[in-house]
Order: sequence, then structure tokens, then C-alpha cells
Amino acid sequence: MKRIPHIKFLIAGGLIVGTICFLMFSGIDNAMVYYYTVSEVQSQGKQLAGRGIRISGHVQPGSIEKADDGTHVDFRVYEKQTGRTVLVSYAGLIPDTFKDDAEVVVEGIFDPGDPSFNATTLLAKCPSKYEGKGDQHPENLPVDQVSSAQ
Amino acid sequence: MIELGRYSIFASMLLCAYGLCAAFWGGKKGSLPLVRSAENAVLANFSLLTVVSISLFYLLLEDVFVVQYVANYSAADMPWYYKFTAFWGGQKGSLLLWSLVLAVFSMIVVVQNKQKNRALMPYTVFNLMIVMFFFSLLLNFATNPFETLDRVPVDGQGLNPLLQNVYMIIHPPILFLGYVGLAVPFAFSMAALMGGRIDTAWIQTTRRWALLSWIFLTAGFTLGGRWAYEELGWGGYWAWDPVENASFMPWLVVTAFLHSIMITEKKWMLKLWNFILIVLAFELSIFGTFITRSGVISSVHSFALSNLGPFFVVFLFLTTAFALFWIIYRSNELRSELRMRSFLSREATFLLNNWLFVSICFAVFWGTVFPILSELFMGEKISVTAPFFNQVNWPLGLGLLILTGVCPLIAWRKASWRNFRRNFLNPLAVGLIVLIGLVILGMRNWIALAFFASSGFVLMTLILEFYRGARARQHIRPSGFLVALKDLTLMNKRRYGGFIVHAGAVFAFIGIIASSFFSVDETFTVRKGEVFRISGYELRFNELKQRRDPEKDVVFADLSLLRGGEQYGALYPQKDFHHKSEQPATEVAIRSQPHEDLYVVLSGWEEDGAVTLHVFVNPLVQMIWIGVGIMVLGGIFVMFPDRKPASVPVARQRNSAVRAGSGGVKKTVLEES
Repeated sequence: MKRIPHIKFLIAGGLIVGTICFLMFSGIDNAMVYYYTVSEVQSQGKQLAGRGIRISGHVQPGSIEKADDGTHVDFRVYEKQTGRTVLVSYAGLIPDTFKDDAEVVVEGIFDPGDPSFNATTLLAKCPSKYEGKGDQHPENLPVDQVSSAQ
Repeated sequence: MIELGRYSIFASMLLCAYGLCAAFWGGKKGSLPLVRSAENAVLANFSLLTVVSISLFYLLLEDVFVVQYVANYSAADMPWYYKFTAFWGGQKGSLLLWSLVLAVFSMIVVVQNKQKNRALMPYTVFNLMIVMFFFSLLLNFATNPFETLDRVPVDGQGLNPLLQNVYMIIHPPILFLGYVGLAVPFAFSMAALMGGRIDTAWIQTTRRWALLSWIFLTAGFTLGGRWAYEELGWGGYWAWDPVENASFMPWLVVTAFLHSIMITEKKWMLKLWNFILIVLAFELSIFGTFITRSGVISSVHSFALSNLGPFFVVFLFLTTAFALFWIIYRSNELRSELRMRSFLSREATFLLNNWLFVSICFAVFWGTVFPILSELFMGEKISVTAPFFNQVNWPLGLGLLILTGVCPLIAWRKASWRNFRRNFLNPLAVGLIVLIGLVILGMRNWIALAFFASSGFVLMTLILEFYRGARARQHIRPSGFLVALKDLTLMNKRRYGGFIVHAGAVFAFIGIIASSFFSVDETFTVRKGEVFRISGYELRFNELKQRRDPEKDVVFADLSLLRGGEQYGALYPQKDFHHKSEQPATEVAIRSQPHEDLYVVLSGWEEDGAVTLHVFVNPLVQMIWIGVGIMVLGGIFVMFPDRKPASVPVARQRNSAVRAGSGGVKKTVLEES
């Protein structure tokens, strides 16, 4: 068996690996979402401009203001430890589990010029049932997931 | 029953510990009595786990709420079948189910191989028992389903309403059958390495297990997708969620494995690669169980990290190190004697197909664990969203689709121009016709065009393959065309069943592409009697109604489908308010037709009786379910043993195999030499 085909295949393999790396690295930039806490968003402010970010916290009781059409909602996300809040504005399908004190995750592009954070994704988890019960948590329960980008 | 379950689960752990020691020493010393004893331990363990599982079923059905698991996942007024399925509604029960399935599979392996594969069996039993032992450790010390509460609650909390659905009754067990099925080929492969028996015996023994596992994984994650589609109400079926990815990754690798072992059986190449693939598939199935059951990645779950993490990490690490050690130790024996000669050969295209499957798996893995990696190495938790997965995977998926057409037809060793012309000219023409036709019809999305044209190409190659095979068969044994087609398919189930799977995959591809690129959705807020339109449908909202069922209150919108003002159908999107749970559940109304689904979600209502509806029109979604159904049936078909051809002389057999240009003959010594 000649040596040459071996090299040929190595080159081919290299090309394929290269293509895949390229696909992965070019794809990842637009799809990255940074996780921040409410206080991090407040303290870092402008540095986060234009980034996709994800904030998790709880819905401040009494802060939910739904628009008449039922697809737009303004509310405050608060952080249990510090009590800090951030105003969120979301347009899209509102999950069934979204209510006062529910654990929520909001995602969107951060715009420091806007007084409220415009979320394109809102994930919510029912507040009372599972919290603080350690391993009783229903691990693979799919959260009620809704995204207006869909 | 609680005590019975608890003691049996403990006894099972001890038994596994004994079994794995006995199997190991039995294998090392070549002592048959020890090995038989280990095999008996497998059988006894199966009985014990049956007792454990029956105990849990009993506790669930009898509403014994002093058991924490029962109190958490069941409730007195749940129908019996949901009490039954509450068995796998949570972590503890699911892990018990895992163990039960493994015990059943191990038992089958022992019974099947009472006389066969005696050289492989000791270490196979050893490997199976190690996995079994790990899960019984978990069940005893980390996540015991028989733990009791100090205070007996009056009633249980009930199964999450989202899981009270027919798909959720069958989806988890099916997926688990797929995951656990991978443990068997893994055990055999490691036994082959440990015993230094690097022939194809382990592959031939476990090929059906890998296939069985593939069938269950395919059905499993598709049912999951279908559940999401009907139950979660966001209009799609796949969101690249970590839990979904967890079931997709082992599937990708085991699919690659099923292809690569063909090359090994026929060409005695890719020996090392098979071992790598099966180890990878097994580790991914454990990893899948882990992320599904521990919530380590999904951020919404992060507030309740379970205590299972360290156990799984250690187990994954140890088993991978163990496997790698043996692969490296035997690496000299695993070299191929044959080298690839040309890119344009079946070997090379199969290898490329394998690389693509593994690449997709790697990209999905990377995206899935990215939050963990970024937190470890960059100090920031960053997740990647669906666009990443779509962007990386569509070119790879397109490559796979095209290879589906190319691989089975291209010649071994090196394709000639003649081979090319004979096999690919017509299919290429069909692909081109599809392309031109769609462009004329106004389709301009070039990704979709590429996929549809390739689908046309692949379907034509498949049709040609069946046609030519049947013609060749008619040549050997004159008969009607359909009879020849039937005989051909029945006599070579692996090859033609494989083609059936491919056809199903093409249909699924078409459905996925159509529904991802050409779906339409709009939100409507409408008052009583108002008519609204979306992509050719005319709907009227009649009224918002309420109904009281025994276990839930239902609010639903009464919608009429109109054509020229006449009603021809009705849709009732609804929200359920289960009495047990504070969480309402959306029930989507779907009107399915072969060409598209009309999908209506009731998203909210106002006090004045106006409702907000999110309406989707999703083209060709049915095609996905049908395509996957065909894939599963094709897989089952391949499982059946081949009918032996009625003593055709060897010379003719060789001729016909050459003519069909296929691997129709068992060993390729004929072509090789």
C-alpha cells in the first residue's frame, strides 16, 4: 500500500475539521447569551450594550401590568438576596406559569438607553410547589417555554 | 411494602457487588463455576428488581403517601394509569426504571448466551454488573425511592399536569430502553478488549442490541418532540433544549456505529473506530440520563441542583478512563490491514458519513455544555441558543442527506466513471427537476431548495436500488416483478430495511425543512363573533366557555372554521386548571392535514370576553411523524433474521452480487482476495 493516499486522507480530514470549527465559531457569536444577575445588570450597565443577556430572578408581586391584548406585559424582576429590581418589558406569548413571585428567566438584547429591558423570551416556573425542596424538584420537567422569536 | 422495597434494593446492591467480582475472577481464572454463579447473580438480580418495582407500583396505586416519592408525584384522585406512570414522573423512579431495564436486558443477555460466546461472557457480565452496581448505589444512598416522610400528608401533590398526557406515559420508558440498550454493546465491546478477542464476534452479537437501542431512541426523542408540539404550545417540536439534546447525542453516535460496523464486517476496517463509537454512545447515554435527571444545565432548574452530580461525574470519568485504557492497550491489534484507496469509494463515503454524525454530535455537545465550560474557563455563564445549533447543523445535515443517496451506490475500493453514470445520472436528473420546479413555483430560499433537491436525488437512488435489485432477482429466478421485489427485500433485510430507514429519514428531512422555513404565525385578539384570517383559513371566534371536569376546570374558546361563510370544522383551544396544581396547562387545538397543521393556542382572555389567540400554520409537520414512523418500522424489519437463500450456487451468487453492485454477500472474500 502506498503512503500517499494516507496523506490525502489526512488533508481531507483536516479540511472537514476546519470547516466544522469554522461553522461552530461563526455560529456561536450571534447565539451567545450571557447570564447575569439583576445587580450585575445594574452595575455594568453600558458595557453590556448590544449583548444577548439572560436575567433570572423572581417576579415582584404586584408589578405585573398586562396590556389589553394579553400579549404584552411589563413587570419587575427582583433578586431575592439584594432586593434589587429591573423593569422588564415583554411582548409575546405569556407562559401559563407566569405570575407573582414566579421564578423567571428573561432573555433579550440589552439596550442601556431603554428604561426597561426588552425581553424576547420569557421562561417561568411555578413559584410555590417545588421551591426549596432540594431533590424533590421535578428535574426533567420541561419548563413552560415560550419565545416570541419563534 | 416499603420495607420489602427497601430491603430488596439493598440486597440487589450486594448481589451486584458479588456478581461483578465473581464474573471478573471467573473470567481471569477461567473458572466456569464462578462465571455460572455470576450469571445466576444476574438472574437473581432481575427478580429482586422486579420485586422492588412491583413494590413501588403497589405503593403508588394504593396511595401510600407516607412514602415521599408517592406524595410528590401521585394523588388520590388521579386516574390509575397516571398513578402507574408516576413511577417515572420523578428522578428516583426514573433511576429505578433505568435499573429495572438494565436488569431485564442483562437477564436476556445471560439467557441468550448460555451456550454461545462463552469466551466473551465473563467480562460482559462483569461490565454489565458494574453499571448495575452504580445505579443500585444511587438508589440506595443518593436517591432512594422508598424514603418516608415524618408526617403523613393527607393527599399527594399529583403528577405535574404537563406530564398527564399519553405521550408522557410512553415517552420516558421508550427513551430509557434506548439509553439502557447501549449498555449491552458497551459491555460486549469492553469484554472483547479485555479478553483480547478483537474479531467481529462482539459486533455480530451486539448489532441487534445497538439497533434495538437505535429504534427506541428514534421513537423516544420523536415522541418527546411530539409531546412538546402538542403540549407546550409554542408551535414547534424541537428547541435544542439540553434535555432534548441529551437524547439526540447518543442517537447520532449509535447511528454512526451502525454504519461503521458494516464496513468492519465487510472490509475488516475501522475496528478501532467502532470501539470509540460504542464507548462514546454509552457514555453519552449516561450523560443524557444525568442531565435529564439532575438539572445541571438548564438554568431554570438551577435553583435545585440535585445531589447526583458528583456520582455521575465520577462514574463517567471512571468508565471512560477504563475504556480508553483498554482501547490503547489493544491499539496494535486494532490497526486496519487495509487502507482506503480513493475518496470515491464506499469505504470513504461511509467514513465521511461517520465523521458527519460525530461532528453534529460534537457541535450539539459543545452547545449543550457551553454554559458549564464558559463558567469554568471564562468566569461568565454563557449559553448558546437555537440559532447556533441550526446554523452549525444545517450544512452537516445536508451533507448527511446527500450521502444517504451516495453511500449505498458507490462502488467499493474506487468508483469508476461507469459506476457513476450507471447509478447517479438518473437521480441527479430528478434532483435537478425538483430544483427547477420549485424555483419556477417561486421558492427562493436556497437552503430549502438544496434540501428538497437532495431529497429528490436520494429518493430516486432508493427507487432505482429496489428496481434494479428486483430485476436482478428476476434474472436469477424468473417470477413477477412484485414477487421478486418481496423476495429480494425479505432475503436481504439488512440492506433493504436500511433503505426503508433512509426513505423515512428523507421524509423527515422534508418535513423538518418545510416546517422550519415556511411556518406562518400571527397573534389575534378577537371579540365574540369576530372573523379572522390566516394563510387561507377563515376562523370565527364564537364564545369563551367553561367546563368543570372531576379533576380540573377547563376554559376553552369555541372557534369555527369557515369556508364561504359556512362552518366546516371546529377548534377548541383550551386552558386546564387542575385542582391540585396552581399551574394552568395549555391545550393546543390542532387541525392536522397531510400538507399542513393549523395550530391554535389560547393565550389569554379579558373580562369583556375578548380572547387572544396565537395561530400557527405549520407545513408538512405530519411528514416528520410519518418519516420517523417509517424509520422505526424499517429498523424493526432489519431486526428480523434473514431468510436463507435457497441454495443458489456460489458462482451465481457472486455474479448477482457483482451485478447489483452491493454488499449482498455475507463475506466479501469473493471480491477481496
